[in-house]
Amino acid sequence: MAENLRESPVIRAEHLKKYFPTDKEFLRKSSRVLKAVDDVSLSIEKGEIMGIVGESGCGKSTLGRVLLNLTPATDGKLFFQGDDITGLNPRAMKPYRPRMQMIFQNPFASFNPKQRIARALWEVGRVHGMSADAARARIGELMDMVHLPLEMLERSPAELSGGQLQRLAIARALVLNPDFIVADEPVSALDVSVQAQILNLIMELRARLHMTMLFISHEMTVVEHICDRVAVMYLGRIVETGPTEALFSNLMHPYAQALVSAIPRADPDEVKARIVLEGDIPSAIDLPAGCRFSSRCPRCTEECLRSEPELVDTGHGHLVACHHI
Amino acid sequence: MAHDRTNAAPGALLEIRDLKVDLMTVRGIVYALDGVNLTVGAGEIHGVVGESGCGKSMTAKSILRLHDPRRCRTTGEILFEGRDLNRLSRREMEKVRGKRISMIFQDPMVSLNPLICVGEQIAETIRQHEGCSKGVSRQRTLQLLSQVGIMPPEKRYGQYPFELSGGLQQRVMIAIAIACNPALLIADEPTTALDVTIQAQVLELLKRLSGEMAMSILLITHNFGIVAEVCDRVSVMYAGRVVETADARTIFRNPCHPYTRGLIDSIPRPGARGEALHTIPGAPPQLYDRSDACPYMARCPHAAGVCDARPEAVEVEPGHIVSCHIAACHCVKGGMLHG
Repeated sequence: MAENLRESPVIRAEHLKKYFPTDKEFLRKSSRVLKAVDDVSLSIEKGEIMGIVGESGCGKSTLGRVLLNLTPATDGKLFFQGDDITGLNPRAMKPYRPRMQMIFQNPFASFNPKQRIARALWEVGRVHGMSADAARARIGELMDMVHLPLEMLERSPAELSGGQLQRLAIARALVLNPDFIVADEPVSALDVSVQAQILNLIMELRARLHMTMLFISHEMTVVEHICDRVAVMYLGRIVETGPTEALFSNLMHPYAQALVSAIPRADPDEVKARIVLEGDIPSAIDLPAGCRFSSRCPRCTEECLRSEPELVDTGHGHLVACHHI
Repeated sequence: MAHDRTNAAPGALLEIRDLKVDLMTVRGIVYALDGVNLTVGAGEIHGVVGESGCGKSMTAKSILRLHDPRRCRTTGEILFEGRDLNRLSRREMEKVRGKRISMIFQDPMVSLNPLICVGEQIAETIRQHEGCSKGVSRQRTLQLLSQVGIMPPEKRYGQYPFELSGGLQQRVMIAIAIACNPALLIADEPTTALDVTIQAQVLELLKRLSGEMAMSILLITHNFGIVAEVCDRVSVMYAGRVVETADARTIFRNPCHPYTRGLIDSIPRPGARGEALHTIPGAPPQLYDRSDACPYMARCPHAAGVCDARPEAVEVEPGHIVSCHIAACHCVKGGMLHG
């Protein structure tokens, strides 16, 4: 670990799986499992923003939680800055906790409504052994970084707007100067003009602090705008991943293509070959045999029904899991 | 009835004139709508865009008079098929709701009754409004189910809402809404709760139905992408007023109101990765007091002394209406130069 700490990625997952038991009956072991994350491998380098996109139920939020060990992985290996943290219990995780933080979708739900903002931010530092004064000084610094006046610290969450609260949630995540942040749909609950403010703030902080981040979103345009690398997920598995520019200029997986073509673009003159997918996303409990996208894929063949495709490198770190590539 | 018709603009199905709605709340009166003017043409898909709290849903609910009359005060005219809906009796209004104007909402799960199978919920609407027999309503329902793409209709008829996905539930809502061939469908954020691939399906369906049934749609959304994709005309709302109305293409190519321009510029565009996005400084105003000044003044980069007076709606080019002192001045001049 010590010899190449600088080179080891901030977070690295190998064949990560998270299965949830379903339809548990009284005193009986459940028979079926929901495969929320099913064999995902990824690594995020220092200073990189990695985007995860996909529709609801594709496992993107579960993946974020598993990477922080907030919920233990069923199988696979997880490394944080070179240390194996797979399956560590909460106590063993404690030294790692200040180094990894999370930002949530709904800023109104992520603050205690009875607590003033100052207290909410200060507490984070205190819990992890900062002195009261140091925590106070750090908060002052952060308020400047997220462009909010110090007076706002005396308010309670109900007095603030969604945009202001999301800035404060970002400030709170930065109190301990973490090495890794998982942002789970941080702009989905916000209006466009506010969304733009928060995205600008994230880009600014990234440049200033060299933040490493997993950015989870269902919006392709947002991910395309701020991420360095992107992974597209479908039913618990990454179907296509690569550097943002390379990926978006040459989408190869039929699901990724359909997902992008389904986005309504704010441009009435854009010529579009829209791929409208038939049907709904299958349940993650009864996965289709073979390729999990086969039930909706316009290019499905016999081979797709027989075997599940693996991620294959097509050059420059652009990986695709499809039999037709 | 006839004398009202002469007042309405030609070709207009719905015309809202100077609609004001004040809500009585514990914290005081909220001037939710402050003089909304909006015209929906026959067969047109009219988009209403704006940010949370700007009055989009309020306008939609006011058309159908879904507010509690004890807690709100409404003035202004809502002319629909030659009548002012604000002046109809409750009985008469019931004949308009669901029959001539119907509405679908953001979350289909809470709009459907979880204890009644979906087919029966559609059939009930038909029986209620047309007074036909169970057999006839069942036949019509099966037709409607296949019209909105719920296959196979016979099997789906007897299913309950929880057995259907979000996309199918929204299709059921649409089937209920179009059951009596309404002239106007109000869709309040119909795809916000759905995934993009399902959203694309539902938008295609709405577009197709509008064409097939010659039905106008008032589509409320916060997503400019949806506007570009399905709407013929658009109204942009801010702080309880319509600030700009134009056809969809013009809104994107030649937005005149500074707010419209600000909103469109703050959308992330493909191929501009990592660039700082345009933002609008400040926040929308609280609507606790009514003032004559332009509501956007505090955030507007072009604000000037004239903005203290209420901006009038000016038609800067045919069909393109802007409520802004500065823009009106510039755009009209620009137009004259071209002309």
